Amino acid sequence: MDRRKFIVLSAVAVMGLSLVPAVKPAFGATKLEEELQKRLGVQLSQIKEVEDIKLTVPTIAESGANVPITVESNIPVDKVERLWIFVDKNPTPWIADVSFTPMNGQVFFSTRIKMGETSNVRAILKLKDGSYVMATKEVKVTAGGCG
Amino acid sequence: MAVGAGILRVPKEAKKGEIIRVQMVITHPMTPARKDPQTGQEVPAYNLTKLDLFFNDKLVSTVNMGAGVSANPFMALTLKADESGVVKIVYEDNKGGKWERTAEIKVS
Amino acid sequence: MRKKALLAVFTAGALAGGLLSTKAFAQVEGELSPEEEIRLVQEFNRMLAEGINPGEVWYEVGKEAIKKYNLDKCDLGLGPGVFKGAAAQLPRYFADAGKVMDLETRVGWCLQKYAGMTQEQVLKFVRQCWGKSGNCVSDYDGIIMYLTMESNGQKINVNLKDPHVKRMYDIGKQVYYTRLGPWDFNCATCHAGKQEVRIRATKLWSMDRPGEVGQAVSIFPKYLVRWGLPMTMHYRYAECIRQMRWPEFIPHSDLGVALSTYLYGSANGTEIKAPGIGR
Repeated sequence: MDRRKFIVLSAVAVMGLSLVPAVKPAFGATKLEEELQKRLGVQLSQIKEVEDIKLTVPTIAESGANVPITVESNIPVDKVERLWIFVDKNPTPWIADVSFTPMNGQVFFSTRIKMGETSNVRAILKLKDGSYVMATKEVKVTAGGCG
Repeated sequence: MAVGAGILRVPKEAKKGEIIRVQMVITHPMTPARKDPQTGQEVPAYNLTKLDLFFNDKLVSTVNMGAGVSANPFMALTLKADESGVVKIVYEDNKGGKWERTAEIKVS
Repeated sequence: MRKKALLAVFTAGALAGGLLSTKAFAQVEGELSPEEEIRLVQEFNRMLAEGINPGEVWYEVGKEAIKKYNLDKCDLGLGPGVFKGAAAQLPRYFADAGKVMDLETRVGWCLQKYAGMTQEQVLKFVRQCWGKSGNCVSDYDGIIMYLTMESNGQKINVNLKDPHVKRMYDIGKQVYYTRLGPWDFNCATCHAGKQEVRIRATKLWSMDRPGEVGQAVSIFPKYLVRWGLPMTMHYRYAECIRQMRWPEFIPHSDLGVALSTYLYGSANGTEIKAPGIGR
């Protein structure tokens, strides 16, 4: 390797190194990743974020005790096996899962969940073809009122 | 009364093929596992674990849940009203509690 | 020449890398303006109110409890056992008691008369779930919920023309604006003025902004998600009074009746819509 190539390669390497902190390390899986592996046997990177899932959560939750969440999808219900709800930063990220049959008529589930702190909320659908799709939204948990 | 009581609400009537909402509220503390602040002992979680939705005795949906769901949780699912009949929810918690509720719907 | 070019590429690359990593690190906290935050909190409360309010479970509890404590003999102003629409015309003057009473005070009086409770027992009955958060369903809360819900859709109609009622209204108003206690607080400290007052992310209603007192009281008992139970007006008074560091509030006291007369009297015309829901 001649000196020119070496210098260019070094420059690229330095550029690359300064970008590394922005990329999450491959080791040291988060709690969410662990839960996804345990319950779904899948990695977060394998789940596609799609527009077909409408995830409705408040932008701000005045209390983390009772956060409304509604999940709907125009993906035909007979193509869907199960819905999973996760909150990234909860002590246990898994919240609930719902199985669907054609008798449901559509993919729809609404409930109230607990959130310990500002975090992403994820609605993940397992499709009958084995693939996973999801919608993610962040909910800011604030404190409200005089207690 | 306290634990396990609830409200199951469906429209009284629907047109054939209409997708209706099945709404429910169940009283349950849904307490997560925690350490008793005074004794330091581990207090296990006390929460609903499963809810099955049936229509005319056919299983429509199963909800598995943990203490991450709020206390006295509200839940809603949909049901395609193909015929008249009985909507039933059967739910249980992790201390052996098991309850059910029914509601009728007339489909024309 | 070649060295200079390479140096330029090197520097540019390092700078670009540095810039990109800073951007990735930058914590975008999403600074919200106060107006934006209030709007979003109101959106949260709107979403919370969808579906079924868990407070409705207390309706059945109350219905059973009324039979259990012989309260079908209780006259709330429309005749013994006439509950539909009764809460809407309270507080009112009761000749048999010789005083103005609000819903809770009248229920307390009926519990003494028809369920054989002493005043001490009534207070204990009222406070059964006070200070509890989660898994507390009391017959008292059920009774108040049931009786209030039987007036759902009816407009609050406190008879301020009755001199007894007007007197309590005036006393209530005076108390509302009297500074007391070690902090010199009064109800108006938080719930008056044209300017908006907030406690952390919660916007507080004000007596001086039209309609707000009605919106506040017409939804009581209010299911509180942080405690998993409905809060009645007297519980609300006790909490406000505790937070203001005033002397302890006794349920069903004249102070409670005075406050209820002032608040509900100011809310005349508002439709009752219980239970409400909030944090």
